[in-house]
Amino acid sequence: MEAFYAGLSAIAQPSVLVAIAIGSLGGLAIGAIPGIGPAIAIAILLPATVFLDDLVSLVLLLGVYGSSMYGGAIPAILINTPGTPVNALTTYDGYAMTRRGEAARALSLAYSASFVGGCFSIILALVSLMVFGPYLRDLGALFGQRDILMAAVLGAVLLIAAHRNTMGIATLLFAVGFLIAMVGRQSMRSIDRYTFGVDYLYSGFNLIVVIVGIFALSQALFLLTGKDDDPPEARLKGNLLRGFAELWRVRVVAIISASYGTVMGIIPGVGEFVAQFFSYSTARAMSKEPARFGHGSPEGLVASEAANNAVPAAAMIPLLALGVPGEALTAMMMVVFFDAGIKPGPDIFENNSDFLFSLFIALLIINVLVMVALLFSTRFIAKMVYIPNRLLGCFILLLSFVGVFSIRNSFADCMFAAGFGYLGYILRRLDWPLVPIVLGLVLGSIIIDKLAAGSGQIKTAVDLVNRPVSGTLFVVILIVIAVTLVTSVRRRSTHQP
Amino acid sequence: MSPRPVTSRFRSETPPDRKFKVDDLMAFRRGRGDLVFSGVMACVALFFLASFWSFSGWEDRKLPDGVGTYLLQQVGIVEVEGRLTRFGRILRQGWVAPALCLVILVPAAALNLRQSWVTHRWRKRFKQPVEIRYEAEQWLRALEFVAWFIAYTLAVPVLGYLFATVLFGTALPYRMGYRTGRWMVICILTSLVIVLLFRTGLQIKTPVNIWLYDFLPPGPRGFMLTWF
Amino acid sequence: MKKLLLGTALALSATMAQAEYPTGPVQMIVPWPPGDFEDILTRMIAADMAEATGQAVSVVNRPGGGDGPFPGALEVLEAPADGSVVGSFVIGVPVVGPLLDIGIEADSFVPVGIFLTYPFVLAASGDAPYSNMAELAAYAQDNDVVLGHFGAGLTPTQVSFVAAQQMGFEFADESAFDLLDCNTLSSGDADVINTTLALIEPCLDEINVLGNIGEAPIAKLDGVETLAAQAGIAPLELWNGLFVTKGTPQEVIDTIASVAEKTMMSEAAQALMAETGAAVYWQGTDESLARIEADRATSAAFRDMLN
Repeated sequence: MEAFYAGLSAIAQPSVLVAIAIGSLGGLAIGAIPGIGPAIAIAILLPATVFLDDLVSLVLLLGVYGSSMYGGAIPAILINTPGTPVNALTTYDGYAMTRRGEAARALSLAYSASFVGGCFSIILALVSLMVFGPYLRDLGALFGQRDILMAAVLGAVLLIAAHRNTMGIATLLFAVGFLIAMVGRQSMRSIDRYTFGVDYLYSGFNLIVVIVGIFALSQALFLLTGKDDDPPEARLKGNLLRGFAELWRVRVVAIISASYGTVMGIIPGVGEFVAQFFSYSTARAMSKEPARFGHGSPEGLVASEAANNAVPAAAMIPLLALGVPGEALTAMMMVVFFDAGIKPGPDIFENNSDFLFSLFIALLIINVLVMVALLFSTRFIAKMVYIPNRLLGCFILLLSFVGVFSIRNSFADCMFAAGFGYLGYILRRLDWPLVPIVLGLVLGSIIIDKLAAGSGQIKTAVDLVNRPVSGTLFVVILIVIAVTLVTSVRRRSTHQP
Repeated sequence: MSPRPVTSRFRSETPPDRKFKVDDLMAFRRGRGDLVFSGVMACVALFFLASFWSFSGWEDRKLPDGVGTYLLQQVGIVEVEGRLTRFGRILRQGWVAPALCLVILVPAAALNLRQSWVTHRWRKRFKQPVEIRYEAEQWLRALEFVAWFIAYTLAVPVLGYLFATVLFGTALPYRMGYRTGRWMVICILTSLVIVLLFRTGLQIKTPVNIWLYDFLPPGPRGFMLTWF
Repeated sequence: MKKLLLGTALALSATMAQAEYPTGPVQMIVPWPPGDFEDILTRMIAADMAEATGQAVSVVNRPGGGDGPFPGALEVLEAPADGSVVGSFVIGVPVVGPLLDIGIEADSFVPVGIFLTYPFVLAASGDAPYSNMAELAAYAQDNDVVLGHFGAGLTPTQVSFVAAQQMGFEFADESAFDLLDCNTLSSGDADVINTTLALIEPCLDEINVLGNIGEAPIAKLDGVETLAAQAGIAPLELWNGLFVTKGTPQEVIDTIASVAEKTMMSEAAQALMAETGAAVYWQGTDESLARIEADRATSAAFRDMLN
């Protein structure tokens, strides 16, 4: 409880509150603009946060992360274009409701479902911190280098398994990220991997260079070579408070979806899409009117929004507890943790539990703030949709430069970012997933580090898996691989290519 | 709020009545150009496989005699007398990570190329478009904007962050067809906001020696270097 | 916001007078993860310097992932020689760095000053059946003992190996960590670790400190002798200092030094010394250069003993 109050008072500084406000309102706008999403915004903001206070920079990024999906629901519902990729399913029922003239109802349902989803996972995290926190202190001893190594491998396996239809591509791109992670020279251990005698490569690739290139620059190129949308007029009439009452009637769906979002968020590598997929399918299976799904069913809308918004808080858990990020945005936030002077990992419960409380309380505030802001500003935010795509592209291109250059004053970094941007652009054109590269890079470097640090205690190969945690994780890895192989073989036998 | 582009009006890429299905969430179709890029990736994988032998530390490997027996012993299949090399001492060597990576990369690249080839043949058989000309044009078009980015990067140390950003923040939109006075004003204001926010406010680092500022007297020069 | 405005006002008045160092934000690079003494003290210096100059001064942690301080050191080496990037380096960077063929020469970095001697120790978990070096030497004859350290070539690691050699035992294996703390011991990642007192402070009651690395025993650790005394080897102290690259103007060095010296004399820094057993002081460029020279000689002698 002490840590809770310490966390609360850390939040109560004016600078932190301002960062929460800027982050969450900015995130709303970023989410509402179809051309940019939280990944791009965080990639660009990341280097800027080096000069800010640790908590200030983290809540700023958390604000963007936690609020973008609220914003993304607006264009999804009003003009059938998801603001962020994870709002895709929202268009299914949300836009159908708009076409029936129920835009306000759909929006308010989406907001309230998001709110329930967001708060559900945050409160769950806070309560478990309070209840189990004291016991988690002793958990550190269970997690050694080899255990984290297995957790990272599990993250990689789950990431690939979650790309159901693009598993081959996800594996390939994960390996490419892994390859990028190992480039560099470690003189003390006389390790020199793939540097080809090029000076620049000695220190390896900087994570931010790759992230800005793959996420931000590539999107700039994609927008610049594309066309400006001419979105239909968004009409919005009616009361935005209606949905809260209506949510009560579908509360079971909301809670189940939020639980899916929380669980899927905690599991590394899985994330919003799978959470939505499962919660939507479950909601449809449970519904009395499954036929209405896709034609403006409030349950479908709630299932989608409650699930995706439960993910951010939950996704922080593997990052904080193990230092193993499960998806792209938390991978980016890991950079801030390091710059902030906090080492995510099992010890965090012992050394920085007030900081944990601060983060989750901040997330809670973000959700409330966004909710209130949306009631008043939906009409205004809806207009963001009309910013032309190619103009957005111009400014993302310019903003990418500051992000990359400021890391270490290097023009070579900018050139490589341009290269990664072009690679990302081609991947976007081909509809190949981008996240495996970045997670390959992050998880790959964790795997390399932990393998080296843990090697001292490895006398025989069995020592890799003969610890309680690493052994359990190893079994889980084997099960996931087996299940994935069986299902994909079975699917292939029933499907045409 | 923001006015639509006056000069060009396009039809929406997402027609209003497009329906999103739950299965679409994970849907994926290999498009045109997929085969080419899959081929490129396979070549990349082969390149790294080929350079594994000389650029990964493989040359400096330290392996015990009789690797086969050693590995069998590691998993407890055979018993070996005497003092054994600790497995950790092998795992720590530089070539291990590249080897692990290539074990994933090469088969994945091969598998992906095969899948891509199967799709390509399938498309051909059912008379679906396989021409990659359009896709290749798009890829080439993007290079122009890569050049813009590099030009901007090079312009910053010459003109300073402020002027380079305002210049490119208007020139690039002008190139894209946002040419009316109104757009120009919006672009200049946006560029200024970016500079004020990132450089002046957040104090993000930009190049330290700026050609243009060297013409200023020391006082204003220091001021410009600090804030813009 | 208030801070920003105040900073703006300060900087405006400073820049109006003349464009003196620092003209832009300054980064101080700590090549380790956060939490240890060098990090705490460098952050204090950064805060004081920000206050004194009105510029943003940030501390950036660049852990080397098994390569110790060198990736961070190379980053400083690549930065322009104008004081915009300052390194906070351990003894290993100027002493071991030039031997590694990574671009660091003996005179690549100019010490602004040395300000910290670590209370560096060799520690084992509380249930280990040994509590000093002699007992460890006896135990290691028949059992595997794994050493955890910050990097194979680094000075403290070298001292540990020399001590082991002189006492007639060897470690079964060793591995490099970014961070060696209580968790490294409790999770069993290493049996014996080579680390600073700050990192094992929380569990000091539950572990065995086998010896400390330095010239004199640490007052705080009752009954723990130095490794030098236990193994009969030359003492070597582990210190940390601020460095800039060769060619950095003298006034830059002077500005940083004047701020850092005041920081070290401040109550907070001195209290840290009293509480933790770290030695906090300030030695200017010339003194530091002489010290580096002497340490290079000792380190070379150790290397000869190990080969």
